[in-house]
Amino acid sequence: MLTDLLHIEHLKTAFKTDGGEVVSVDDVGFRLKTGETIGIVGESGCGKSVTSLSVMRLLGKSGYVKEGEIWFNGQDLTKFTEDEYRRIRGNEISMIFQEPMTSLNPVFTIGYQMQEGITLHLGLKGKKARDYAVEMLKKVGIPRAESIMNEYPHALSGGMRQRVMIAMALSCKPKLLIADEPTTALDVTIQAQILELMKSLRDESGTAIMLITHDLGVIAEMADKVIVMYAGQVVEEADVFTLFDNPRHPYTQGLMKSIPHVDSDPDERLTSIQGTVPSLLAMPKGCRFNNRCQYAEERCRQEQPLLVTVGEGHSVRCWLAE
Amino acid sequence: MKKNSISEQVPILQVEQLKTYYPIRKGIFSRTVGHVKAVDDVTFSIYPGETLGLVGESGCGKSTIGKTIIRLEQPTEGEILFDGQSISAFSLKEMQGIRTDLQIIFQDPYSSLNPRKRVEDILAEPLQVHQLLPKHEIPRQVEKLLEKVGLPKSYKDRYPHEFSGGQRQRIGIARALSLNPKLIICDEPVSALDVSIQAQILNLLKDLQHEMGLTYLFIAHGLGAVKYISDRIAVMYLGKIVEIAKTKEIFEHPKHPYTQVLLNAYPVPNPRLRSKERIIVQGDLPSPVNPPNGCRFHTRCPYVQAVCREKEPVLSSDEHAVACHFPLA
Repeated sequence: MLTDLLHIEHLKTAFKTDGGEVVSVDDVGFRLKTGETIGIVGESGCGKSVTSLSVMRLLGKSGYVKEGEIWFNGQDLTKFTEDEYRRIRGNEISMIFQEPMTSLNPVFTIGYQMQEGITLHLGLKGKKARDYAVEMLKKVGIPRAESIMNEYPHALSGGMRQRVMIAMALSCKPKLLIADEPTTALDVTIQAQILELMKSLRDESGTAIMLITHDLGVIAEMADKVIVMYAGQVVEEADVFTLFDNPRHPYTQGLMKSIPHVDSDPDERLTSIQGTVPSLLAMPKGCRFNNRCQYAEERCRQEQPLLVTVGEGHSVRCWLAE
Repeated sequence: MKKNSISEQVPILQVEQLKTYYPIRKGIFSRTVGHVKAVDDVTFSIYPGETLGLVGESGCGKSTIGKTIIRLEQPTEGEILFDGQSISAFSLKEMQGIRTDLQIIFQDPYSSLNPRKRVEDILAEPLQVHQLLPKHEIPRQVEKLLEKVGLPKSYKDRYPHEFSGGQRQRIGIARALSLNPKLIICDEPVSALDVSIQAQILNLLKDLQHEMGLTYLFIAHGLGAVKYISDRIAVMYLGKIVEIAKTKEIFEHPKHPYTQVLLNAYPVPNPRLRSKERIIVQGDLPSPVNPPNGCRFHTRCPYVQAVCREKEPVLSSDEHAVACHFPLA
């Protein structure tokens, strides 16, 4: 049996703010094996991005991992010093961000930015580093890779920039790739190209992927297993088929019903989830979803449910799922 | 209203051979060196009570069409007829006169509301400008509007920053409704919202349409939302309409290869359909400054033939209109 490449346990990430400490990720945990893709779904502010930034320790000055463990390749990352982190960041764990427009430095050429990481982590210098960078650009389907090396980011389209980001992220052959909404800013035809590219690279190199998105279509296309987050917590975890066939948490069910499908009947009314996501500073007592849940009972308003197993690899945080 | 065949009705809005070009200026004398052909010869009509969806990828000109109709952009050529009168040559003053009938809802609810004004002031402003109601009735009308879009009356004293994205979009809708318009241009009204909130807003727009007999031009890039709300759909590519038909026709029998590609590229939220054969087009959208000769889609079309590179196809004039030399069966 394969051991887990990434194993997060009881992760709690908090931020210091003027209004006091805000816990934005509360008791999140999951396991990921080599070559597997986990999808993390949720709406804005649910803590999905903060979970990934916690793994990369890119939380800025005010954010910190308060509790929990992040096991990567047999080591607990929360115990790492900043120096040790620099050695794995961009090397064994890479990240692609949502905004291909802002995640490249506008004053350096594509080539310079590509070679920086290659020289730092792989020790390749000069022409060798350059040749390797060109090879990576070709691999992600960039035409005229040689001349693109001398271009600045502004000369490239969004899809092209995201390809450069992917080439950069994969150049050190990471064991784990974190993709935070990699296609959200792109057009659908370009999105299809990028997803196809990520799939083929994953199948070739066995990289594990943590895919963060709000788009259930992208999840269905890419993920092996899925965690659904709501207000900083995991509310449901399952393999992708179970999640789509038999969602158990009312929030997951609501999300599934509220997407207007390309195949759905236009005369049908969309089922929407009433209300909005509660603020992190004023979480409701009991289940965090209770004020929007159509099945909420007295117990849901009083006690917070725990994540319980309801089937093989399927767990749900809901009183009614028991 | 929707049951009648559309050909029997008089359109509320007719757009004829509309062109909107943006000049590209260079040098110290700001000489015009070229044009971005954002909208290049577009013709379509909208009938009372219907929703026409306008889809396409970023940069295809769909938002420019909306903005040109309401005259936030100047048309370069062509004619826009609203309710039978040509408004494309209207002065700004004349435009103000018909703005009561013609309203817009913007994409970004964060930047389209004035942060220094309370909700009450935002909603009262159009009523004051157009003097449709005596002054003392305005506060009551504001409350009515808030109720109509599903917000409590007490919210009228709040500022925009106190609201979530979905609530702000409701305020944007209330503002568009305040003058009792006939046609509302919805420019990507749900694109910036979370999935569960999108459904709320789409349902609200549909309810309001039934209640008030509104006509929508619904601009979007997400096909799911467009399918849910539209009676007919126009697909745009690089400044041109490539296909217009009833929603069902577009989804079940797309005739233009681009429409087919667009439908195919959309990831289906069902993991069991993952392995289906997908047609993925290669390459990026060409620049609208120098659009390709012949058919504009020929550089990416999976079925391209020699004639496509030379001759530009014309949009046919039947009910399921398509601009392609070799429409799909």
